[in-house]
Amino acid sequence: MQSHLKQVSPMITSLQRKRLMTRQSATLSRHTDFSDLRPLPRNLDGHVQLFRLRPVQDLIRLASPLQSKGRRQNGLRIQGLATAKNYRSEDDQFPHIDNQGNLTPTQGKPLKPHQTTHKKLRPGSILLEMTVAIALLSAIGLVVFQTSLDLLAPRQWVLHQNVSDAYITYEEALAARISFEEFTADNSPWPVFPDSTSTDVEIGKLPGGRAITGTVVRTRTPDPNNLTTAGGAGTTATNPAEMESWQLESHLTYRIGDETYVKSRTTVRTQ
Amino acid sequence: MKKLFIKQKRKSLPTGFTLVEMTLMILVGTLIAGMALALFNYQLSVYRIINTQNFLIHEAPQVNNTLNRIVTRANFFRLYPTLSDAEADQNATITDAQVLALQFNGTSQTSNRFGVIAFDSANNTLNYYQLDSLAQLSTSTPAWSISSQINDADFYVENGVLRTRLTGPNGSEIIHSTTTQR
Repeated sequence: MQSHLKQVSPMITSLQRKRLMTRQSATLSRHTDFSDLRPLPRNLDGHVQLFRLRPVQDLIRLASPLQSKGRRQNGLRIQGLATAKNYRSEDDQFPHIDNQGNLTPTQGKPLKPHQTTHKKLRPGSILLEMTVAIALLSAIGLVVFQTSLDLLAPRQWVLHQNVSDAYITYEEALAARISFEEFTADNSPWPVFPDSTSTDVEIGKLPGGRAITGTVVRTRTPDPNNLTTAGGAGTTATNPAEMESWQLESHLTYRIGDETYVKSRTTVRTQ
Repeated sequence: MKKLFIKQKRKSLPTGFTLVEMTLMILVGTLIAGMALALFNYQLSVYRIINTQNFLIHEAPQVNNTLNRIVTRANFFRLYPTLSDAEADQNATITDAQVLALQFNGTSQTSNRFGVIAFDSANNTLNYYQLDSLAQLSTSTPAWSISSQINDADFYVENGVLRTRLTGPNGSEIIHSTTTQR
């Protein structure tokens, strides 16, 4: 099979190489560097094709094969065409490959000198890549920002919950600790419902020292079987032991953002 | 032919950038570098915020739970400003204490036991000592450490309720309250 491969002379211009190709590879532009081309056999019968190693370049820098009109004027021809001007003689000859693969001069229209400039990069491609980089960075930044907000918001909520949970243990402890005489007195910290006391308190501090404030509302309700002197509707018949029970309620109100939360603790005291 | 090849090589050399192109490229490159740096700084600040919040979110509730389980089982408590005061059983106070001494009554077969919760300001740790008497404080070592993320611990009594103010990193503060066995 190797014998069927047609050896292309390095002296042959890319224009001449192009003539060896089939239609699929006829879209090469002036940016094509033939150093990365290699001959590949097709159909195992000696036809030779040249494929470039990175086909993705076709999508970026090569002209469409359908764009035939104005290819030469717009500079979309292959690079090898440009070098053909070097073969120009007095009788406007330029080289081509005959049926035997020999390089021979022939008549034709030469190329203009300004069309022969070869550039590795299309002008502005770096700018384009940097713009893409900026867009990518912006997108990543937005995603990271959103993710961190999603992470921090619930933590802020948990933080307030923990601080308020800790504070309200004072209400539980005090309601359990205070004497019966104290909370049933006229100046009780837990007045009989519907009366209540309201106190603004600092329940803790956030990182950075910012205080978290809340409001504690206290009230107490009698057991329905209490005697009438203790706020109930019981009688000595229904409550012969003259038991007295009270529910001491504490409600802690605090805000997280625009939301208001209430946490309640109730302690039952009986004697 | 050779001349043709050399000429072709020379012509294929890349041309340089213009001043405008270079300026534009430097500006855009600086913009990209600035954006990347800002992104990195933002991530760093978020990491710091999360670290400072960890005390109130993870550590403080565990400390409160531990204190609640210990203190509610005690029959008696007393506050001291320092460990040496607790050891000598002197200068007992109800405010600004760093040592909480708890007494657990023994049964007819066992004697009283003592538990001491003390804040070690040198190492920023809240330690627990298990003792047969407060006099053993001078020779004993902490049985275990309740927390090592506390910057300050303050025990005080308000309306007969034992309150513990724990100060964490970056000024965060949480107040826990409890009472002993009645």
